[in-house]
Amino acid sequence: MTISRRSVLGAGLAGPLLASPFLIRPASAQRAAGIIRYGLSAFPPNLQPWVSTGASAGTVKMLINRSLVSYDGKGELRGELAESWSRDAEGAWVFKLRKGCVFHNGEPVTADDVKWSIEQIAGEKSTAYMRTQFQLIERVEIPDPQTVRLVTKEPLVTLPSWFANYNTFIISQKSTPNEPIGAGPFRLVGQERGTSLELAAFDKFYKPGIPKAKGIKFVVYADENLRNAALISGDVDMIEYVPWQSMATVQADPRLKLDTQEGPFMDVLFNGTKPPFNDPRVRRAVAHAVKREDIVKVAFFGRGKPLEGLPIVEGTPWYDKELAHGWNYDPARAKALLTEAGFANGFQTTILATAQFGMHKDTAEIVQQYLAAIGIQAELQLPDWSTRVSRGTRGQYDMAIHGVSADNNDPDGLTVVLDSSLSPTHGRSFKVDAPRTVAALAKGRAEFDQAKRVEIYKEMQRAALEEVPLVGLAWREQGYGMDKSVMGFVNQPGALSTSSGNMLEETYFG
Amino acid sequence: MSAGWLGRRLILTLAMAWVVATIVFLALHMVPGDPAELLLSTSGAMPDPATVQELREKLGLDQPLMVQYGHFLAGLARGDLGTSLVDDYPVIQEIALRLPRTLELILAGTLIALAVGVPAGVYAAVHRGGAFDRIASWITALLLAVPVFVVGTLLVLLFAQTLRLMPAGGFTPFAQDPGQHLKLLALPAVAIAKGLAAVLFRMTRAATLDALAHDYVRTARAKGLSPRRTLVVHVLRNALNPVVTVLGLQMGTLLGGTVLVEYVFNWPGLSTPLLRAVEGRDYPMVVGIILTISVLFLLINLLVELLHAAIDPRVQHG
Amino acid sequence: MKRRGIKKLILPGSVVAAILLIAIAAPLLPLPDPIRQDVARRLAGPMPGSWLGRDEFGRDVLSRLVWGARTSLSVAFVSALFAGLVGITLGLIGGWARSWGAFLTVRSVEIIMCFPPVLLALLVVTLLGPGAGTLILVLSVLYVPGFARVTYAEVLAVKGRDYVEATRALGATQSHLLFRTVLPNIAGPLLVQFSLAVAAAVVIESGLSFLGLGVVPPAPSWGLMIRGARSTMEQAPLLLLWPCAVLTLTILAMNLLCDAMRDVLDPRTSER
Repeated sequence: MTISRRSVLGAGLAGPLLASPFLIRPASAQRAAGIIRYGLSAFPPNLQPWVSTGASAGTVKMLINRSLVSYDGKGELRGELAESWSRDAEGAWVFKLRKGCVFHNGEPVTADDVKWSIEQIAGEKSTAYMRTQFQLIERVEIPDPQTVRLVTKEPLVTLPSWFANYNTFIISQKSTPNEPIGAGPFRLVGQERGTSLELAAFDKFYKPGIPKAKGIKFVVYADENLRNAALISGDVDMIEYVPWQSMATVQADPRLKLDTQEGPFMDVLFNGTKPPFNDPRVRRAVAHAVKREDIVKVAFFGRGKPLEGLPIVEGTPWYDKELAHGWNYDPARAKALLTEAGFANGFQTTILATAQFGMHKDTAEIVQQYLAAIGIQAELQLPDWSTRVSRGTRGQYDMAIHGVSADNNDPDGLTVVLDSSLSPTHGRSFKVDAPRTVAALAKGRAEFDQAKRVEIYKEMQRAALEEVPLVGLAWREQGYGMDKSVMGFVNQPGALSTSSGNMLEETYFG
Repeated sequence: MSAGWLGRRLILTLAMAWVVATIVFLALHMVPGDPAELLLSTSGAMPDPATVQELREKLGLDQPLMVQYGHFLAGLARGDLGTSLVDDYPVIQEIALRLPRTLELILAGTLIALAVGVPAGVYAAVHRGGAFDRIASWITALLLAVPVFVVGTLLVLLFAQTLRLMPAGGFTPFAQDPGQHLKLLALPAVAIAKGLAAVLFRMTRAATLDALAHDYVRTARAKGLSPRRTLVVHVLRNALNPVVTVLGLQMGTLLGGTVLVEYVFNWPGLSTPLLRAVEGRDYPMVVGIILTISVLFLLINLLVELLHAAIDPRVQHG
Repeated sequence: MKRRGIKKLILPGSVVAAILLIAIAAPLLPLPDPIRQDVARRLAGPMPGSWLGRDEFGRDVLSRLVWGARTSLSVAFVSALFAGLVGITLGLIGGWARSWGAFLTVRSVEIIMCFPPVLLALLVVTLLGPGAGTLILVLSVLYVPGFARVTYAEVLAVKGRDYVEATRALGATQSHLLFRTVLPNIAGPLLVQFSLAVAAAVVIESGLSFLGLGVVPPAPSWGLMIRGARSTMEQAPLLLLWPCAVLTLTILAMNLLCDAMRDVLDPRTSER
């Protein structure tokens, strides 16, 4: 499914909107018209509703499509096309659909559309991001026109949150591959390929008063310095991914404000199929060898926090202060572990990262230095990103540096980075044995009692600290910079930071 | 300069472009990196192999190399450069959209460079060893030495962020707002011009010196022609030759070399999708763009050769 | 050879010699380790022991400049040399030989020029992995056409000259003609081309390092220093100044030197 210019230009409703606000250049005029100008970091490769094409694409997709639920400013699930959801006696998830929701073509959102969308995502030939998860849905039943019942193959606690991901939207059955019909608060009314996209408010959106802005113009600035310059010079009203070296400037600027969250983090991945990293003691030695404050200072200009344990967000029920420092900086202990594993004199190895992303390269350089201090001579390998991904998936490395975010703030969202028994990919370690960790994750996924879950995930952390499926290095801040007059936007907490796009429906000029 | 000669040269041009395209096609496939996997891994997503394989099949990437090459050639014969692996957008349309912008940038930069470099070069040659000559040499060396992305960043810092005189990069179509369009063109054009002006200066200076040293100049002076007329009629005509060559070479090279400027100034020309396509292993896009650039470059070379021949006979007579 | 011409050689010649000497003598100089990090003192200004301050990792800037000179200059010189050898050979064949030789060399040079430099660098680096070796290969390939074209043009121009005809009439062999007669007479423009190639190679190396396709860190190179300094432009603007200044000075000196050499060696500019 692709968006083509033909379909966009053909949309009748777009006509008058195309003519007026976007052609007027002066910022004041655009602001008066209620159009928010947003500096995007990458032009969306495509806007297919179910295929993962990155966070920038996701931001746009979240505004022109809707799903059953979404995350609010505090990171809690709230109903969108679904009013409420619960589990029934047999363990199936039941969603009650909201009345009065319509698609952009004016037709109502029905249970059939929901069923169809789910089946498309789970289909045999599907390339959807959540394909594997959705294939765990055995069948979709429609007991009445306002209810959808999902019967799953096994108990799944986190199923509702699947629908808050920006790759699982409900679109109309009448959609064609070139023209997906969504139900979001905005419509796509124009795009300058590679440069910008224009969204206009959808007047029949089911939430009264939403969207608060009349439209959004996304302008693409791939270079972070330029994006920042655009914010400072007033060319745009807000930007995503404020470069770390400029965060202090944005904060200090009286015209601007900065909203940051710590969601993504840097870690070390291992190839568990050959020595020396098949030995968890060696992996643990790496964990204790690095002084993480240096990474925060150099790679992120101080905008971050050391991560000396598993990436569990502080303040959530699963966070444990002691476990969070399980891999503290202790070179003596690191050396002792190496000796125990039979490498008293250290060894030579390689670190895979990429030169294309400064933060990866900088982190790798620091890790290299600290490993040298305990006797591990590591040579840096810095190919381009594509090669790095390719080698990562095929396990062609010893150690690798990676920057990643969990799927969501629930600890089960960490499965995707911790569970290396899943098929190999560049974002996880390659075939590292961590049986207790994997078992705990599976248990937590099926346990519905909150108190029991907390215990299970603490157990998971203890297991992971010893089995070391990855080594946490540092949290990094993700920042949105905006003009002080931009109100109503909230950078969603933790791992949801990059999906804060749907906050734009509540954003307006104050 | 027969039509036959021209025809043969054109066919040669197309053949060479085909060689270039084939080299790129093969090289891209030899290099590690799977476009389907890369597309689905954007922003740190971790697709499972079954999904990746599905996409590979959908994009036709699982077919043997020779078959893919065959499809490519067949499409070429039809004048179809294929569609992007990322979003199915026709490569030709992408090129048609982006190429004029790069050309515009190169042209603007060249005009600025010509206006500055050539007169300065002539003046410096005529007053060789003088203050202007020495200062200009220093400035030229400076311009050649400082990298274009540093100059670009400094320009943005100065004019956009500090002085707020210019917008911080981007693009507005000329039809929409000519004033804004030209304002956005100014800084990147200057960045492109900086290196070119330096090269043109040196070349013009050297060529003018050469021409000034020739016998026919002394002959003309002996015949009683004024210095100015000598300069214009004889010296410049002869100096033009190597300058035109250099200009043609530089402009042709610029076609694919505006990457850094386009990146720093956010100018949506052809270099940007090329770089992104190589990063994402979007084969049809890369090969299509390279093919276009090669053909254009070779045509420019041809043009330069024709211009040479056009200029030369007149000089013989003069 | 003219006395005035030789005088012009002295200043740039000594500067270039000095830079080369410092670069070669780097291991012998009392400089701190260029790759040792000291994050606590990152972006520090000039201080005793670190006369130019520290970079974003806390490494000594002066030391990295000197060691970077070794890398950047050796890469540039070696690439220009290789490019010169291959390019001049191609140009000689192209200008001297009959139909097929000329045709193939001229056209293959043109094909090389069709490749945008960055794309060529990207492809080669992706295939062979980043590093100084790959960089030399890429830069060499990029400058072969320049040398080839200049050689080709000059050989064509010189082919019909009197002294060539005379030497040929005296019974000299092809190779004798080529290497003893023709080559020395086109040495002038070739030296100029060499200086341009070295200068441009240094600049392009910084561009490629900027994109992450050049020398692999933590090894110092001027290009990498500029890349790192660019992101800390707001906090430490001087950090950007040092490598740019050194780069400029080096290239300036090289250009002036080669201009002076040309003035001395090129027969055409002997009258004025």
